[in-house]
Amino acid sequence: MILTNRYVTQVAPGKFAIRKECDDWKPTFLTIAPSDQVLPAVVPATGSYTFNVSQPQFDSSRPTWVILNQLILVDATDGASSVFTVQMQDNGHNRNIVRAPLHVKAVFGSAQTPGFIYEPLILSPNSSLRCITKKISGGAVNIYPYWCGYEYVGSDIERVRRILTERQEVVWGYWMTPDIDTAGTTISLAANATVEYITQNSSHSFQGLSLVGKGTGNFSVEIMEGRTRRALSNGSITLNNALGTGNYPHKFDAPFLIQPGASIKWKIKDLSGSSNNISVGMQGKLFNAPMKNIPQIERDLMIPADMLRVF
Amino acid sequence: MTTLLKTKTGQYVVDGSQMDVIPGFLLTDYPNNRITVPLNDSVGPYTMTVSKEGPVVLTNLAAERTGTARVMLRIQDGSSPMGVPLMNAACHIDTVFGDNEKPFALPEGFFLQEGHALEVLDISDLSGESNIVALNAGFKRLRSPVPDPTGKLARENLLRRQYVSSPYFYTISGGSKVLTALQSADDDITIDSGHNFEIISIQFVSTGNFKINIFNQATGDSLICGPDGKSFELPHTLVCGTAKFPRKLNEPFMVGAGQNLTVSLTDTSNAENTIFVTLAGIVYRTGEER
Repeated sequence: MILTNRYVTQVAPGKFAIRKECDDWKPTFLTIAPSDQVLPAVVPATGSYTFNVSQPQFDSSRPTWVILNQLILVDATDGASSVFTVQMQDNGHNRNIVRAPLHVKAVFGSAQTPGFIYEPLILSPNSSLRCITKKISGGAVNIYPYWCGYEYVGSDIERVRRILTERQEVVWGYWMTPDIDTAGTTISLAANATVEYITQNSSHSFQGLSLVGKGTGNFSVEIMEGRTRRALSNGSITLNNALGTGNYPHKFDAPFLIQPGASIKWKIKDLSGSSNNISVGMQGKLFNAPMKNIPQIERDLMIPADMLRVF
Repeated sequence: MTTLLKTKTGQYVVDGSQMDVIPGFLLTDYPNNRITVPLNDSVGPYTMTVSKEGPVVLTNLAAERTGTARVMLRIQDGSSPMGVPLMNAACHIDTVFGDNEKPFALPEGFFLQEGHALEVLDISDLSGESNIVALNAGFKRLRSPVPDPTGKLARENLLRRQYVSSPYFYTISGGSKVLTALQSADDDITIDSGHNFEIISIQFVSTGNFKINIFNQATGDSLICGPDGKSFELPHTLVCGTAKFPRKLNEPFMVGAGQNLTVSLTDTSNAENTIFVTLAGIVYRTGEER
């Protein structure tokens, strides 16, 4: 048996070497400026914070590419006494990553069990990730949100840039949510009330992979895709039996693929018997590419299926 | 699963065949999506019926409950008027069902055709208060498998596989054991003569700490091996998990058809201790393949 890993390779019997590539990547944490880390007690208090891609200190002229795949929030409240929502935008690509604001605990995890994004977010040099937070209730609180990932500090920047940007143009991580009419808040339901939202999918295909949600009390939800009338359940799932959190999203056993332009109906009902601030979302990926079946691809593009390669 | 494909000419395409397999959640039939169990009482049966949109493969179990309860599950697939049992006795709900964040992944998927049902035979309250229970079985649904437009081949393959093996839960007799302070007791689990049982994970709920050992009387094999090949009880925290965080075995522990498993329990809480133990696994039927 040859004992090697991604950075250790056997160069001759009994001789091992460490690959040069291990010097090219380093782990990275992106966070907000200390001056932004206080959410005041004013309701509603809105903050807009930016995670910037920094330059490596040893060579400020060298551009840095950052790949982010984990979301961690360390806060003093655990969402109990101070509740706020987050929405995020990739400024480099001018894209929303979270469609409408979601409860912070439905997106971020902890250091032990981080939240994650299904498609790593790639930030080019000097671009930024904007995080908008809005207070729902509670007193002043310090927040410490982090995005974690790794950054490229090697010399073959052109090759890395090609690989990273090509994929990022056609697929990116996304949180699909009901379109809340009051920007920056959760869905506010009176006791035992019911509300329906219709989300119109964009011109991209969306692949739902898990459900997340949070409420100040229990609630139920029915989700149906309008074009093909595919329902996710034969009744109402509830916060406590089907909607996960940022660190433990409730994963689907098969992807829920939604066509461009199709609508998603969300029927939400309070079960707590009290007023309820509700966040619900489907976590997955958006694709900027046409959707076709394999026979269709073969017919339209005159390419046999075995000539396709997985990207 | 691959979604994004790249053609030789550089075009990207999303594989639309994923539209034919969709995820979903099977709940108890309307209007009983949330079942009220009166204090210290039992209710049931309730069915969780697969709709006409297509057959499903059940893969995980999650539950919301306001108090503790026992549940007894079986499958109604038309093969027997009594249905196919999924467990030998009612199990504590927390040893079978996970929750919204961590559903319990069945050791093996269970195929159910349209109109067939997962049946909740009985839910018994253990909390001493009125209890609301909402059960949720996660599935993937086959809509129109390509190149098998009617799904005939998929159905036959899944049914044939299922006749050979399917998920199952074994619990100690009566589902639980009550020990007095520092008492030791053995409990036997007899594997049905119609199948072999492969233990995948061990779940527990208890009112206090205890030690446990599990061994096969027929072979003398124990889950716990100590010095000189001797086996002895270990603290439950080392051996057992919950449905939410099950204690999975690193290697399968196979128990033959008709063999007896002895579950040795010793209270270490120095108080009366009610202990629920559930073994989750896969049964391999011994009959001829049909």
